[in-house]
Amino acid sequence: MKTVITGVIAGADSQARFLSGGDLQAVQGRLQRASAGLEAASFITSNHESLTKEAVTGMASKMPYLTQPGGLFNGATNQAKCARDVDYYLRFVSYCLVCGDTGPLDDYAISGLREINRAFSLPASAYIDCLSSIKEKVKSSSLSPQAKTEAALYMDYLVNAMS
Amino acid sequence: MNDAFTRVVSNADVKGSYLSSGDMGALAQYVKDGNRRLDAVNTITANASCIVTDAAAGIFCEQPDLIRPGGNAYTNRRMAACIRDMEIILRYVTYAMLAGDASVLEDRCINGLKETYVALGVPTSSTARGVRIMKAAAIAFVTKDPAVIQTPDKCASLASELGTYFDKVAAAVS
Repeated sequence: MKTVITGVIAGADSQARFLSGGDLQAVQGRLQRASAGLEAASFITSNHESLTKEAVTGMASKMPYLTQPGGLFNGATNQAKCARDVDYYLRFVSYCLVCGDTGPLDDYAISGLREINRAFSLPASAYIDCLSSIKEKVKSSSLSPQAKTEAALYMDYLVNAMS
Repeated sequence: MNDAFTRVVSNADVKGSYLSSGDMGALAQYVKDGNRRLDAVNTITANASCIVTDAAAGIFCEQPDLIRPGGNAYTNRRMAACIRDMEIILRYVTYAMLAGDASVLEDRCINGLKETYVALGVPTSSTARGVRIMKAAAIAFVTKDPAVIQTPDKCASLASELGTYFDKVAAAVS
């Protein structure tokens, strides 16, 4: 999976050379950001259930046509499926925060995302709304500013890929 | 290829679970020791040719038949190939050390190494011995680094992690 660390190793290996000072500096930069990423990932990990639940409830009240009879998220079962998807996305965001790169989102979520949404007529706008409201929740949490920036980075990345 | 972080993430993803607090703690430790790890990689890289040539000289001293006519490292061409291979092994060990994960070493160096050596008639026990000499030298360089000597544990955990990567190569060829 592509991260800063595997990236510099792959680059050095393709030239059959030892790691250079520049490579090590790149990794050092990544490690300096890592604590903020781990902090944000811990926050999401311990709060993912409430974050997901509130986001889906909020989305349902903003987009009532989706939860009315005939809507895609009508009924408890369908709403639970939506919540499951949002929780998956949130989990991949937490993975990215841990790895310090977009690799997990690229590999697990984004590749094939458009095709799946089109095939099942899933409304990307609903998921985008959920992710945006989670992003706002994270922004108003007690996390350090750096951790908030890191979390917002990956959520924006996913929203951009969806829209 | 995995690093310490993606390894934990792919293990968690297979189970569909978020990271456990134990995993988070281990990664936080990796981050905390990050500069020491970079120093270790830097020290081995800076002394790579010394580590390699000492190991080569060591094997040829212990097993002089290797460089006599009929030996597998006889002729400069074959001795050079031996030294080149030792350097390649050391290079992949430094990659694994930086990543904090053996996947790059396993996928790109160890996989098929023994089969290749057997096919070429390389005496694998001598290769394993060379790798073990490199292990001792590399660990000595890392633990005797002036910055490391002042730390209370003298980077014991990093040194033992480094040792496991050499052990993997030695075990794979022998």
